[in-house]
Amino acid sequence: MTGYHTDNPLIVQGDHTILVEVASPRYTDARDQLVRFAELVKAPEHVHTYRVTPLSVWNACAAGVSAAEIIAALQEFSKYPVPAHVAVEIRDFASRYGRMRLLRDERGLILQANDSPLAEEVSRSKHVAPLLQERLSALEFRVAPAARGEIKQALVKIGFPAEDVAGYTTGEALSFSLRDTTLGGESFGLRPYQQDAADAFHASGSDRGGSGVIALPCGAGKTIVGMACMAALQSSTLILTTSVTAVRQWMRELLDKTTLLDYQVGEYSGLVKDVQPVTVSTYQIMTWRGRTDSDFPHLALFDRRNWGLIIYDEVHLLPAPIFRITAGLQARRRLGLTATLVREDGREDDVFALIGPKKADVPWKVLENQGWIATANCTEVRLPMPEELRMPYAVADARAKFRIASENPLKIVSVREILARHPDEPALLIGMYLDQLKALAEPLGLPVITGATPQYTRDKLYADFREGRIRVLAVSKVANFAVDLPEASLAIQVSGTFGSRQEEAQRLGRILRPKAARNQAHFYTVVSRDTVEQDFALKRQLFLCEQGYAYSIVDGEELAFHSP
Amino acid sequence: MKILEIDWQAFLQVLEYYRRLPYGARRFLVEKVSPSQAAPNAAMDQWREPLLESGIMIAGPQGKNAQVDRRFQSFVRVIRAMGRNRIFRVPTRESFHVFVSEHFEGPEITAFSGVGHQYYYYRDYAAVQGLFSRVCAAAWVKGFLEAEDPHWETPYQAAGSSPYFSSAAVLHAAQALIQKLVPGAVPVPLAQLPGMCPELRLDVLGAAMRAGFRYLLFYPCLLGEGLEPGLGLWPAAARKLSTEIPRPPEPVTVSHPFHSPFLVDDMTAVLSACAVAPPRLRVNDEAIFEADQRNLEAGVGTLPEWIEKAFHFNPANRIAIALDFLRHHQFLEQKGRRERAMHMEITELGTDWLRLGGKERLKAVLDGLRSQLKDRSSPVGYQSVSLVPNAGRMSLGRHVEQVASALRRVFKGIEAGVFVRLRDFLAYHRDRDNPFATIHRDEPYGSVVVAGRSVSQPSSDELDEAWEEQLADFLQLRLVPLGGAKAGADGDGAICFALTDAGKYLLDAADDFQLGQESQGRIVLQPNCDVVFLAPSAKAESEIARFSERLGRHVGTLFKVTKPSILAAAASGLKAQQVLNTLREYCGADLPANVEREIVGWFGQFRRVTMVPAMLIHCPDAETATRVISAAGGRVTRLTDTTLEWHEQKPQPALLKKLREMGIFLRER
Repeated sequence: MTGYHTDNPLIVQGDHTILVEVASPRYTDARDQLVRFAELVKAPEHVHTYRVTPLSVWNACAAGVSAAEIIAALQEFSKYPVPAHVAVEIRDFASRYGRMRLLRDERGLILQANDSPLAEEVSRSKHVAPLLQERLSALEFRVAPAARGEIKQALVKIGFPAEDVAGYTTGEALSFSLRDTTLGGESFGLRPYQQDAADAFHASGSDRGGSGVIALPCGAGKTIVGMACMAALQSSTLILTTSVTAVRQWMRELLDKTTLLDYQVGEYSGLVKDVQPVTVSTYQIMTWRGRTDSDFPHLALFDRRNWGLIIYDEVHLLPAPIFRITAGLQARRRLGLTATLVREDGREDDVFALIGPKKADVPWKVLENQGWIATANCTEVRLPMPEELRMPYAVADARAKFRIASENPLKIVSVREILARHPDEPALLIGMYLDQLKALAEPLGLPVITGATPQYTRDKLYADFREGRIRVLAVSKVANFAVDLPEASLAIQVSGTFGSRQEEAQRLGRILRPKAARNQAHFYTVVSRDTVEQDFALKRQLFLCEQGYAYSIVDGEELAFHSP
Repeated sequence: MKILEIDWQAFLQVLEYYRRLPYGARRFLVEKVSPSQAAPNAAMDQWREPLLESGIMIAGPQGKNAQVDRRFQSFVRVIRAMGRNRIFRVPTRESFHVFVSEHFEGPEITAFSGVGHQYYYYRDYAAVQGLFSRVCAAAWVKGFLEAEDPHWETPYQAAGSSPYFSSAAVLHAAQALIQKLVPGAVPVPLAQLPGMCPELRLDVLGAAMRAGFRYLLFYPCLLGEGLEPGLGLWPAAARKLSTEIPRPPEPVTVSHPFHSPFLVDDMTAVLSACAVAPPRLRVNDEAIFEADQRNLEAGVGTLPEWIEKAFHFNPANRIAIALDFLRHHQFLEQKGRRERAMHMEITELGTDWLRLGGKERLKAVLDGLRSQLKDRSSPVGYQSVSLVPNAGRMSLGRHVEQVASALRRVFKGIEAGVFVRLRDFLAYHRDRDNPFATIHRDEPYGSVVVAGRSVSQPSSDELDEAWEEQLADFLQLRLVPLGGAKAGADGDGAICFALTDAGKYLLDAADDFQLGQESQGRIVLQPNCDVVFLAPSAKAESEIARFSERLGRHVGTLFKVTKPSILAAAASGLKAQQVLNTLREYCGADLPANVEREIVGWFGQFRRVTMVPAMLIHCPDAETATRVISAAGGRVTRLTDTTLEWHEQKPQPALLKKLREMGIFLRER
């Protein structure tokens, strides 16, 4: 067969997906090229899948990669000839980047096209036209500063993303640095990939840097990267995250690892309204309002200080109102931190337009191979339904079926066995149904954290867990996001939330921190066999396999003989 | 005005006046001016002046209009008649018929037809069609070129008419003119004729033109935007005369060859789908409901776009062909009554066929074709399946064996595995080994289908065209879809093909065949149930398609093993171990444990239930039910306390009597 290169690892498909053969001798080189311009979609054991999208190409262009380089890379590493239309479309995607620029001069904020037909097209677009103030020339329009974000969103929507070189407001100066030794007495320094990510974001202070997203796997230290970016900018910072627990975690880390002092770091939450040069808040308080038709009173925090940097932690969860306010904050430097650019609501384009292009992305396998995150084994334990529940299950509606299967009382046996198999490993017992969690925790003597648990109690229990005074903690959804429990190396999931991909990524992230001893983590899911719970578990299973985790299935009865 | 009445010498002499006109004026003259009527100045507009200047038209007495000068009226009539001739734009029997009807008298047509029957009507359609078959062929022109004297004309001369080839000089002039026309194979302007044939006097040239038109050796026309008067040979005849004698097709190199017995895959996909959800049929035309049709189409894999375009293999066509084959092999049958739930159901034969391996399934289909030559009468809505596709091409179906033999002979002559250009192959075999020519000689009154139309009294060129279409059909409808030929494109994009082992088997040139080469270690079963082909393998595709959902073709992520696909496989008779063995065969012994586990589990969830009609007896209470059982004995089974199943068609009168005596009266509902 002509044009077939067996040693090359790539197969470029007509739908812009790219299959990558991991066993190929040229895999590593190919992967290093691909991450520059393609999104990793799934990474099961032998063949990984990437996808080239307009957004991934624009991200590449923002980083200085040309269409010719992208196509050359595909051709160099592909087993078969690259479909002609794929190359054409990559050139088309790339050609659209940079044709529109946002810049600032003595006339104000200017939107500039690189040719007249494009200027005409843009000026006639129903999405863009309302945002243009005045036509200054054949190629230029004046734009209101407040519309800087909206116009970038609109331009992405019509397929002509704007390169924003309009610069930033300097922000109030804040002098501090990262410590060499933490307050806890441990040696501290940035890992190479963390330094690279921070450097890519900062871009030596030029207008080309200062806005963008850094995607690192769970457990890779995104908080550290955030702090490194803050230290590079030396200005006041507003940090938004997903929960009060996460807020306090940020504050702890800032005080532990930087020279910032107590009074310089404030919490702005439902309980405390302390605005300091570094303020950490939650999305929830930002989007709180008394009535559905009233304003969001706490959004005023964005104007309370002259912020030099705004950090959006877990940016893939950015709520819509925050998008809107972010549209008006384009003069501030913005950093998004996330484990995944994939949003369940598909608003990746808005993240690109309003936060900025992807600045760094390190595959988790690389970090795992380098020992920065733990390897994880996933095991699904299947139990039979008890006889007395089979008829109620059979006649129940779909939602009730899931609950009956999830709350299978036989699960406690498996939970005991799993805990017994890992007697020394700090463990999290994770569930969706609070009654079930309590029913499992009580006989085992485990503390339980739910949404109803007061914040001070949560903080104390987390602290006890971190310091080894508690080995096993039962947690509900609250522990999914942005909670740092680095010593957890075992997670047992007794009920899940209908197979959300984010949920899985987050739960697994909780146990993927590097471990002092074996650096091995275990994730167990306990499901009822031949029920809808097993069907939903299949989605989770496929997702985890696609992320590259080893996944095995055992019957509850075999658990005693199964080696992880 | 009839072409045969024209003095062509005079025409050529006044042609220059016309040629001086700008194109727009020419168009106005041809399309708008009536030779015997005046044209108003307003209508003439900007063309009035050039037309008056040329002398072809003269101003009216009061200057308000203009008309054609008497001297040019015949000329204009001829020009307009030439403009009406559509032969060179649409060279068909219809355009020929229109031309002949306009310019020829009945006796002239009769004399030409040479079949000797009485000619009753001015436009005898059959006579003209017969005339087409005779004269619109390269053989007619060739025969004339071989004529040695004007007596050539005699058999075609109308009774009582003067000869057109009045002398040998006129005959030779016509021959010379045709020899000049042949190489280019396109009409030439009349103005160029004197230059092309400088040795001919104008009067002789004019006479030769008239004679040539008379005997339909060439035809007049207006050429191009400039409406230039011209003449040319019948297009198909001209092409045939001008081309070199085709040589045997030579080997070529292709890129991206395509090889897949996708018809078998389509049959497998359709049959598997029918096993799970029998498609419903409409009562009015017994076609599949559109929703079910769409589901079937969604289940077949994609072909490369260039293959779809080159061979017209869109999903709807593929489903139709797959269904034809499935019905033909009795793998599917129609069930249900006209008023109620008509549907297609898989048969035992179909289930057995699905259990076979990829090669065995293909072999079963090929064997069916090898032995199936005769047309069978087919229910409305689908085609019969035989070795010879479109076997009704010749109206006399008993000749299908002759056609099949010719097909075998021609295709066996190609070396297996060697690509040749399709157009070269067809050009070479077009007038070689043509069974239709032989059949037509034996049965001259038969018709043949050419370009989708049934033609009676076909010309030799039409017989050649029909044979060419038959060869192309065999490649398109039998060899390529059944993996009997690979397809490819050369550097210029020309379609090429090469015979395969399976093709040789189909042609009876081999006793067995291999189904493609295997790609060792090039198929991966992923832990997420994707099956990725790192290199193509038609055999593996065919096997794995039976129990997985197709996502692509050729290379890449081609399949995903899912619960629905495994349940469908179970419904079609496959077992878990078969599936695992197939996966191990192609993907290596170490399958991902979770996938293996799921496959076994899903097979374990498969249940088949049977629905049978039952006769039930509902009793008002348990005691009555017991009493009925005591009377009926083993002929009833107790289902619940008060419901009994009666095993026989109807209760016997003796039992009814016994029950009545017990006070139990049976009422049927």
